[in-house]
Amino acid sequence: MPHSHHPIEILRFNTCGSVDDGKSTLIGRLLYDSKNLMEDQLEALERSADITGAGAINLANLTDGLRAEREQGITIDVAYRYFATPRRKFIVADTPGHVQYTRNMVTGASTANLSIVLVDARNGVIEQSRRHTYLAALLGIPHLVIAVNKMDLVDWNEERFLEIRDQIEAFLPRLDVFKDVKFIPISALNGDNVVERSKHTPWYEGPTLLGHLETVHIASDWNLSAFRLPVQWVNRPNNPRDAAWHDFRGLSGQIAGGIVKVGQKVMVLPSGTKSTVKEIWTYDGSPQEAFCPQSVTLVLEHDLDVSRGDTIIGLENLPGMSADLHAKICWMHQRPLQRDRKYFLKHTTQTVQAIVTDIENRINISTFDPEPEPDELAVNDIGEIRLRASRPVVFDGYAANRLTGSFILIEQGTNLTVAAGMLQPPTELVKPEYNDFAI
Amino acid sequence: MNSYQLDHLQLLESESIHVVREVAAEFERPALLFSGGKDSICLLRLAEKAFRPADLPLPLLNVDTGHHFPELNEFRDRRARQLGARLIVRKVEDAMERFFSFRDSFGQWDTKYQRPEIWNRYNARVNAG
Ligand SMILES: Nc1nc2c(ncn2[C@@H]2O[C@H](COP(=O)(O)OP(=O)(O)O)[C@@H](O)[C@H]2O)c(=O)[nH]1
Repeated sequence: MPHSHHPIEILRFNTCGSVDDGKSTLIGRLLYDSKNLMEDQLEALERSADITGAGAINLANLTDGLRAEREQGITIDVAYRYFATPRRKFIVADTPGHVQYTRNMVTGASTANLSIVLVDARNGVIEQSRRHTYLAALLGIPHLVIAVNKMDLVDWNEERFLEIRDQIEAFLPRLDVFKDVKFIPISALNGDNVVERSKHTPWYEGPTLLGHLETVHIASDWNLSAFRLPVQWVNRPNNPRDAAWHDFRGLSGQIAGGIVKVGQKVMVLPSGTKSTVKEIWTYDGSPQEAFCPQSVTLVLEHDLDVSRGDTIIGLENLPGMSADLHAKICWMHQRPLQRDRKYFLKHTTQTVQAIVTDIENRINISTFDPEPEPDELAVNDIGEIRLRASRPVVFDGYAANRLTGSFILIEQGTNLTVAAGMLQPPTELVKPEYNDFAI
Repeated sequence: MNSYQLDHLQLLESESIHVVREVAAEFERPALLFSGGKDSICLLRLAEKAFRPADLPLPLLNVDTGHHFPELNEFRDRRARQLGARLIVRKVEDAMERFFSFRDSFGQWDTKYQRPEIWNRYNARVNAG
């Protein structure tokens, strides 16, 4: 097995494109060619190929069939599909339906490492291509693939492919977030350059789509430079049956950034109290260090007053801490966002109240230009807003950390999730000597 | 290569522990479904990993089909004891594939409006009813 000395990683990706660009066919092709189908799914496919007479397997039916089977009469915003090769495991966020596309794509792509934007070679770059690329950038997806599909319908014309590449490259600098962008000429229907290399594209020297998915470097997609642990749970055994645990007091959470080591100095925010890491406790033993995105339980030297919603940080690469927040948001509800409205804001493990003090702009996501001071943001709108929270929030800019730089807004009364927010970088950082007088 | 890298199982486990702790922290009356099947045995181990060395802060809810092997009930009781968890035996509906699904005051599940699950920010606020 290749690379057996490396851990098998998980790559999360999503596919986007307009109706009929070939999303279902492409996902079906990936599942079929990488031999990730159950026997009964295969049989059903081959049976349907016989019935239609063409003898060709309908890959879109496969994906849509899986979708229907999943849905069972309910509306699913995002369906997750799983497949694997010896080198990696893959989780595909498939966003069916075209009505709430922005909302669904934001949901499906929020955790993605990579986005595949499909472009129909006949139609070239259309408004949807720009929208989807913009959304991928907005969500901070590090890796982008532009899959130029249906190349068989333009006679595998290299000029056509290059023309599309140039059109996209012309606006990419305005988005400026992707670590890498790959352009791949494919035919999802016939399988060219999806899993198998195509004999129609001698002029193309890049990887196949699956080859790229298997090898694109994702280990550094997590932030490993600034330690952040949003406290989820205070672990304090009450009357433990084992007396050894009597004084145990652990702070549990999933590390949202950086690395933590035993003996390291840490600060708890918002209080600013400091201590040293005494032990990193996990069920499987106590390692000397732990890193993002591991779930751990920290034991500190001092018995500080820490509760859920606090953030434990390292003393290098400090975060921002403010009740005044500046963010880009994607509005997700039919009732528009208006100024002076109050919402619950859930950021890492804390929920605070927040009032919208300003709607600075609405982004026209076809031109990427901001339209200043709109009255409101409607469903599927993207815009920049300012909020005032009831308590200070400890955060990083979304570009630096997708976990500590993001939040959701929850409507009061209905408790519906109405927005996804991506914080701008802090204008002022917490100072290392902050609250040095506290014990 | 840096060594700060999780393999697929470690990553999924870490994310699952996060979800289990969120459920325990955010819901008013959380419970862990335990059927005795492989999924729930796995879930129980994840909960153990999430809350050790303390006892399990949420009760085990057992779906009693009336067709249990005696061994299963014995295993269930033993695990509950080991984990210091309260055990409730009752009949409930099966859960669907998302992390959280909400019911209204009539116990109905609004399948047309699901709460989007973005990043790892789960909205667990329950409406009165
Ligand atoms: N000729 C050709 N047709 C394709 C290709 N990919 C998809 N199609 C066809 O385009 C239509 C729409 O594809 P589908 O996967 O349903 O698109 P979706 O709406 O994006 O999921 C179907 O009839 C497919 O057979 C391709 O690479 N070449």
